[in-house]
Amino acid sequence: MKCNDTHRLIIQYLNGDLDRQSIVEIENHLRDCPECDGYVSFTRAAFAVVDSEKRVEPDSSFLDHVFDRLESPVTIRSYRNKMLSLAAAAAVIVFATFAGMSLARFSSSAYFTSVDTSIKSDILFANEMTIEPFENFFISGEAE
Amino acid sequence: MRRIDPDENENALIGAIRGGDRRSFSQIVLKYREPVIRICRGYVGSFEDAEDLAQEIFVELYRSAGSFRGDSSVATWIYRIAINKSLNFVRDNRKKFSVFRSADSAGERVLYNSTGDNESDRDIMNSEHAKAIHLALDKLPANQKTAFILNKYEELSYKEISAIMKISHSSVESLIFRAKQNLQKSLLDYYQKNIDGTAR
Repeated sequence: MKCNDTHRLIIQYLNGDLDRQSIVEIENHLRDCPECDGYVSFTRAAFAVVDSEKRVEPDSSFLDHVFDRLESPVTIRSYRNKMLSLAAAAAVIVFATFAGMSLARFSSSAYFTSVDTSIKSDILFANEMTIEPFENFFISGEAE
Repeated sequence: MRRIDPDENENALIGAIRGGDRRSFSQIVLKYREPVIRICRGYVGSFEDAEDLAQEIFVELYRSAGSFRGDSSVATWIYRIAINKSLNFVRDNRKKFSVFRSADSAGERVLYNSTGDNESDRDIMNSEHAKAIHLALDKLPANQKTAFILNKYEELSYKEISAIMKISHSSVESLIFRAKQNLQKSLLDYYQKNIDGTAR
């Protein structure tokens, strides 16, 4: 038996729906093929989940919750939905923060590097003013 | 195999619920809460969501008691409400479910190869199996999924399923057979993509 045949018959094999000859052939193949053997174990475990999920123990206050909903209609808002809403809100906040920071950094660097060189000269001029005494302006003006 | 017990008294209970009798409603809820949660669980996967949805289903049942004509048994009627409500719930939340189920698969993939000796390893492996089977169930057409859930989760006979789904016995057989074949394909695909690759 080949891998494809084993894959095709796996559900019947696990359900015990195969004849003796097919079972022997599958089991011989599984002994020689670790991949198929792994897949059979995986499928068996996946179907066992269904058996485990059949055992339900409702909350002791299940009936009270039903009556609560009758009194005040509540839309289905499960735990998962709540968590997804919170995660989405957190993602928006983080995105907005980073976007704001990036924008501020970009605009400030662009302002001082390329936008307005006259401001640089003004700053230089102001610096010169602080270095050179104010009275010198009048002195040099008089000289001219 | 569980059986739907035809109970004439239940028709009277629904009649009383129609008149606003909450004691009769309590009896119906207590009798059917477990089957309804089981069915919901087949569709939605998590127990919390299933219980939440089951509560909504009983509210719907209370409000629509007036529409029960008695053509079918009360059990069949309740199963139909549960199936319709579950299908609507899954349809309305499809995006959220698929994001949630695929979001953490990479992390679990790495951990799947652990020895399984401790409880947390076993939990992770169980979670991987649960995710695989529910992803596979999600991919089934609605009628195959419903037939499979009624048969495997609720252990109803083909005859009972045919009454609930209003289809023939042979159609139920065919739906369940095709559901199993499709589940097998989806599980193989999941195994090859997520498990087998890391096992080598």
